Amino acid sequence: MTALRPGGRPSPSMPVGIGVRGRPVLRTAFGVLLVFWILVPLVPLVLWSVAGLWQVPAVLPGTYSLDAFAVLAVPGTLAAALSSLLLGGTVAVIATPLGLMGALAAQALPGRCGRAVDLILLLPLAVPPFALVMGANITLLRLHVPAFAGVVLLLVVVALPYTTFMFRSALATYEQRFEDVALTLGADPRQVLRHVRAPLLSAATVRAFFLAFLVGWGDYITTLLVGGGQLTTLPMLLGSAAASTGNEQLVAVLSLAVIIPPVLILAAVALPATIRTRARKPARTPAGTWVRALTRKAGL
Amino acid sequence: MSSKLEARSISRSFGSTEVLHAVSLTVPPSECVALLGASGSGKSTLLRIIAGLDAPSGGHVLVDGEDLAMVPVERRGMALVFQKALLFPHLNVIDNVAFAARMAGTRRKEARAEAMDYLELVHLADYARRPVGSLSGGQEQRVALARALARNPRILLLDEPFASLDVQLRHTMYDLIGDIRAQLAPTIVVVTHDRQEASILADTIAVLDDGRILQHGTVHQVHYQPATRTVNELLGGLNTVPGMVSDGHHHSVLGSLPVQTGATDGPSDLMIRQEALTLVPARGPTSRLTSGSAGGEPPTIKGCVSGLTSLGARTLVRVLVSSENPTGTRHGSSADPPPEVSERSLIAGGPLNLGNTEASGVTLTVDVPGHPPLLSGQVITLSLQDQRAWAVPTE
Repeated sequence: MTALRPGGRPSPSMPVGIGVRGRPVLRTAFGVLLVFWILVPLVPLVLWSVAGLWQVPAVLPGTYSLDAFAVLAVPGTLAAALSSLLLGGTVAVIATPLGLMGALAAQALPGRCGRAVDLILLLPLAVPPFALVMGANITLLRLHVPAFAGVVLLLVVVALPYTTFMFRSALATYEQRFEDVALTLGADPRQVLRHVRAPLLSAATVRAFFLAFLVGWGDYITTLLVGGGQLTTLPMLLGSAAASTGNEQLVAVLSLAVIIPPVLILAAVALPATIRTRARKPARTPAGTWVRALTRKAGL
Repeated sequence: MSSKLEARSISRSFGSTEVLHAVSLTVPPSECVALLGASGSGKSTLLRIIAGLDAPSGGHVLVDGEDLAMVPVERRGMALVFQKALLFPHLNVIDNVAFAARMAGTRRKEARAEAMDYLELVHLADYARRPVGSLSGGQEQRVALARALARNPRILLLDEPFASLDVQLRHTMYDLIGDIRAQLAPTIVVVTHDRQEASILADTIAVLDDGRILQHGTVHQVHYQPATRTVNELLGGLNTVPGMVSDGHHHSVLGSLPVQTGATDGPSDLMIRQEALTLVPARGPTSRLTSGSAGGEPPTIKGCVSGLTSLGARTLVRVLVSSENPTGTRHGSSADPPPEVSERSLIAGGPLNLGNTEASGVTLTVDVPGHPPLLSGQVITLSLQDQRAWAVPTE
C-alpha cells in the first residue's frame, strides 16, 4: 500500500486513507474544535445578557429580557466607551510607528546587535503587567504625569512587542528591490514610501495597529492603578459591575460591549479581503491577500 | 531615447573586499552590451552602480558625457529589470506599467493609455486588468519589460532577466528583445552568466572575472579570439593546449600550428574552439595527411577517440592526441606521414579531462552534429576550420 508523503513520493508504510484523505479531515476537525474553544465561553455570556431570570440548576434562562442593554445608552457608559476608544486609538497611534522603527532598527543592525534589540523590544512580554505598573506608578506620580498620559505611556510599552513583532515578520519577507525598481522607474524617495513601501507594509501596519488598539481598549490593571479612578473606561465599568453580586446581566452586557467592537472592526477589515479572494483567482499568500485588500485605496 | 553610456575606472569595495577593480566600459547609443561572468564576478554590482542604486568607491558613470555622480537614481533616465519580475503586488498589470508615468505626474487615464501601448508591444494587452498574481513567470517578465520601457529610458539595464525562465520561454523573450530593439532602439546593458544568451542578445560582450573586465569585444572575438585562458573557459572553450609561440607558430604536443598575426613569442596557451574542429572522413590507413597552408587545406590533427558525450542533437567527441602523434600536418616541415598511434596505449593511459594535457598527450574536444558512429580507441583525423587557432600568453 502506498500513500503520498508531503514531498510527493509514495510512502510504503503510510495507508492511502491517512495520507491523502485523513489529514484534511483531521485539519478540519481541529479547526472546528478551535472555533468552539473560542466561541463556547461566549455562549453563557450571550445567554446572561438576554436572561430575565436564570436560576440554578436550569440549563437555560427561565425568561428572557433585553432590559440590561439599556445600560449601553447611559451617558456614563458612552463616555467610558469613548475613553476606551481614545485610549486604544492613542496607544495604537504611538505604538505602531514605534514598532516599525524598532523592527527596522533590529533588521538594520547586524547579528547580535539586531537580536539584542529584538530581545529588548520583546522584554515587556516577559514582565507581568501588574509588576510593570507598580514599578512605574510611583515614578509617574512623582513626575506629576497626568493620568491619561501615564496610562498611555505604560500601555505603549505593553503594546510595543506586538507591533514590533508584526513589522519584524513583515520585513523579514519584504523585498527591498521593489523600492529599487520604483526608484529606477522615476519615483523619488517620498513617492517610493507612499506608493511602494506603505502599500506593501500596510497589512502589517493594520495588524499592528489593531493589536495595539486592543491593548488600550481592553486594559484594566494599568487604567485602574495609574489612572487612579480619574479615567473611566469600559473595562473599568465592567470591573466595578463585576465586583458586586447580582449584576450578571449587566456584567454580561458590558462584557459584550467590550468584546463586540473589536470583533466588528476585525470583520470589517478581514471579510472584504476574504470575499474578494474568493471572487477572483486566489492570491498566492494570505499576506498578499491582506496587501491587496487593505491597500487598494492607498495605491495609485 | 538611446544614449551613450560610459563607465570609467569604476571600483567598489565592501570592507576590505574589492569587488570591482577600475572597470571601464563604453556602450554606444542603441547598442546592446552583455556583461558576462560567473556568480560573484561583480557584474550585478557594476549594473547597480550604473543605475545609481550603489555608489562606486571610485570612478565615474557618464551618460552622453554627463557625469552622473550627483544625479539620483530616479533622475538618471534608466530602467532596471531584475531576474525576478518584482511587479508591485498591490497594482494590477496596467497600473504596474503605468507606474513610471504616474510618478512623473501624468493623469491616471493618460498613463494607462500609454501603458497599453507598451503592453501591446509585449503582446499582453489582454491582461491589462488582471492582478499580477495571476500571471505566469514569462508573462510577469514581459510585464516587467513593458514597465521598464514605459519609463522611456535612455538606457535599459537587464540583470539576468530571463534566468528563471525555461528554455522555450527564454527564446520567446529573446525574440521580444529583438522586436524592442528594432522598434525603440534603446541602449541596453544586460547582465548574464549564460554565454548563449549573451551571444544572442548582445552586439558586444564584456567578460568579467573577479571584478575585472578581461575582454570586451564582438561575439565572434570573445569566442574565437579570447584575450586570456579564463575568457576562453568562461565562453565555454574546452580546448587549451600549453606550449610555446615562436615565429607565428605555436609549438606544443600537437606539433606546430600557425597562430594569429602578432602573437607574442614565449610560453602560450593555444585555444582551439571545439566548434572550430571537424572530423575528417577517413581516407584509409595509408593516406598521407596533406600540408595545411602549404597545400591550401586546413591543418589536420590525428588522434584517438577517448570518449563521447551526447548533447542531444550534437555530440562532444574527446580525442586523445599523443605527443608521439602530433599534428598530422606540420607546416613548413617535412611531409612525412606521422607515426601511427598505438591504440592500446592510448586507451590504457588516455586522459579524459577535456582540454587537459598529460605527459603523453592532450585531449581535444570536438563538437560535431548528430551522433557520429565512433568507437572508443578509434583513430580519427581532425581538421581545424579557417585556421582558428589562437594563442595567448600563459597566465
